[in-house]
Amino acid sequence: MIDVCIIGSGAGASPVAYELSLAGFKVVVLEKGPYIKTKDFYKDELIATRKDLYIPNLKDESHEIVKFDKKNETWVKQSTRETGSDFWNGNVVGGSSNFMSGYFHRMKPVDFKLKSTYGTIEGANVEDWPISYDDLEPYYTKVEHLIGVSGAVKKHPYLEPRSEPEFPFPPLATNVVSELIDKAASELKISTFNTPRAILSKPKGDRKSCYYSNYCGSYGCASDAKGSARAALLEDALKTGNLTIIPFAKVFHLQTNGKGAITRANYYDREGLKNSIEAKIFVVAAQATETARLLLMSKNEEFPNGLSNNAGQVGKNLVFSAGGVGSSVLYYEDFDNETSEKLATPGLFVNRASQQWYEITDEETGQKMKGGTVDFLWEHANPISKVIKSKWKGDQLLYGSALKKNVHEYFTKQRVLKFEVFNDWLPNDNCFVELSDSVFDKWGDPVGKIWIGNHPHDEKIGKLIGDNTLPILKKLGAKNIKWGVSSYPSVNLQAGGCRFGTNPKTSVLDKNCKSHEVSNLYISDGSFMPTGGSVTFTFTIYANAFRVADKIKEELTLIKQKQLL
Amino acid sequence: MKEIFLENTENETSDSKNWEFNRRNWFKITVLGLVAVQLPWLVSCDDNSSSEVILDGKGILTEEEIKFIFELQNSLVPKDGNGPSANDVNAHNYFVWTLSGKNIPQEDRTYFIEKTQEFMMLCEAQFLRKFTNLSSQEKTSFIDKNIQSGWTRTYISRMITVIFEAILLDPVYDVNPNEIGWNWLQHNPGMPRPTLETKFPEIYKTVALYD
Repeated sequence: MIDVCIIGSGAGASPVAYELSLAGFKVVVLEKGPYIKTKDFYKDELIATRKDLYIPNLKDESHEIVKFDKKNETWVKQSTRETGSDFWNGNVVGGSSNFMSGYFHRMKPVDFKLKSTYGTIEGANVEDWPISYDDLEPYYTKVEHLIGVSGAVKKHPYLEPRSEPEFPFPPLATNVVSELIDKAASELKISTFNTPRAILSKPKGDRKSCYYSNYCGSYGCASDAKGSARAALLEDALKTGNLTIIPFAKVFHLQTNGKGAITRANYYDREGLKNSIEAKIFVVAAQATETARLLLMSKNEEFPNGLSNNAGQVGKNLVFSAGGVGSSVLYYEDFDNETSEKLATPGLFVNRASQQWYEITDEETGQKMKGGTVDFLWEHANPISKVIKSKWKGDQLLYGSALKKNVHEYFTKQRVLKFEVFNDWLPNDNCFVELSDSVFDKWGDPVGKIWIGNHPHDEKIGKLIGDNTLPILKKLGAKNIKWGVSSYPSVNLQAGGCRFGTNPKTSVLDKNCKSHEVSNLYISDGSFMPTGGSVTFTFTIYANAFRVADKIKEELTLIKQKQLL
Repeated sequence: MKEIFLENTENETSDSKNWEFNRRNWFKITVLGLVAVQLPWLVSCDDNSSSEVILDGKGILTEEEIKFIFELQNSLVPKDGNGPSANDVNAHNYFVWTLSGKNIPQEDRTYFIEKTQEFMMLCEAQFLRKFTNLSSQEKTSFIDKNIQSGWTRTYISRMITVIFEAILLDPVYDVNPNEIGWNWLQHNPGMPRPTLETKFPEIYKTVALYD
């Protein structure tokens, strides 16, 4: 029997596969998607974003999304099969980490204790984490080295404590716009800093450094500079001979033995045939919504409401990242020749962030509130996406010579500078996953039905941060500044649904991310997070998965020792 | 956030992302694509032709419809001295290719076929003549009359996106010849670029081979 069976192969799964296979344990990874190798990642907009090669066909696999219709004050259910607005991320070996942009901010100490710091918020199910920042700090450092994080530490009011003074990789090269942002922000007494990125600025082992292709997010990396779970961990883990990756393996049920332990993972193979894997320990890391779905599908007499769900907590308290997106235009004619030429240079990153408003004082009450992070970035290089924007002038659809003129000017006379706001999506009773009773995937399994209700506090905070950011853009000379806060979830930033905690009645996992109810089940993706922090999740998911890997290693070592006695 | 097929502004459906690869279907597409390359010139000699282009048994475009699309595309993105026209980048061939086989979900294929027919009929209703028989000024009037609202606006918008896909995709897709579109817009493609073996939909075969 193998030691560990892992369902999923992304940022939550791969650290476990890596650590255990290097430690000599036999590991099998079951991944629903294909194994796309580095050599097959091309900068082809048709494949990456127009045809969405890296996610399932919505006819085969969809979701039901339930959202609140404010106008009619009612909840409305829609299938993504009908809307075409999918809820998937990368379904390939390495998961969505292959296609991330790699903004790697650590969570702050305060993020681990929101409830005890800021108190309860009516309508929100905020809980402190059962671990502290100090518990996770060594693993953040480990990720910075193993996955490879480039950056420069700059002191600012909300800089988190670090055990190492600097990042292991120097910052990536940046466009002149970064200097403009720094200067404008400084004049406004707003602190900015170099955004840490999970992208190598110098080679590491077989992985080459970034070559500034200008096509990063949504694309697989052709140099392996991006710290995908596949390139940074799985490729090395495979070299041990202890890891087997089975692509096109869709797990549909986890079977238990009637004594609270999983005996096998049942899956459909690439031919659609049922197959199964037995293991001593099972790790689920299929991304938050799919992890909860698998547990809910794994019903039996022992767990009539789904695996590890006798307390009814599986799928509850799903969180995303709240916030919004802003954009502005830098017209080359507004800058001197040298600056405008530098602004137009493709490939170089913006890599500027601010956490000036990581904590905010409520002007009405005078109370402190948790704030968030602002990241500045260029508009994506995808040219067809740019045309889709530039074929419009206001509400007017252009055509003919007027269209061509507008498109030409959009591409050659300006550059779009954007910013993204990240703040907490408060867990609440209206944001959760359950099983659909009417929509099924191509294997006949119920799809995930995702309720995406948000808390009004999230929009309030997001708006404050965004509004505070606008003066930076004005100061540096940007025009046509637009900004909006969103109540729709960030599909690529999912967490919660199986949160960890000390109370088995209000959480699914213990502080080591082991199920309260199932003796050999761990969950190592973002599902464990009671709150998501005000940064992107992947860094924390990686770090926690390394922490969980250590716990599993300890357990397997004990099992081995007992067998030897 | 990922984009929706063809454009993300008009509530359109997502594109096919089937992992499976069907060599037989692709063979059909390729053959039909080659035939379609010559169609606009062929049909221009015979307005009464009843020949049809069969798209993998899942939809039909008549030669008249193909000719209409050709002329509509070149009215939407004309040759005007500022960059390439739709014809310069083989946009009509690309359009036929996108409608072929597994390149497009059936509902999108049906949409384009039905709306093309309706748009042609609308022209005959409004101008009492076929679009292809209108003068340049009349074509402009027809488009102006219908571009800013309703389903005709959506149809034109989607057609413009198709044309600009032909302007901006890699020449490996038999569009954007000599990188004419990239040069016009001073666009730098990302590297590495797709090859004949790894472009869409061949990439499906590549990834499906891996264990």
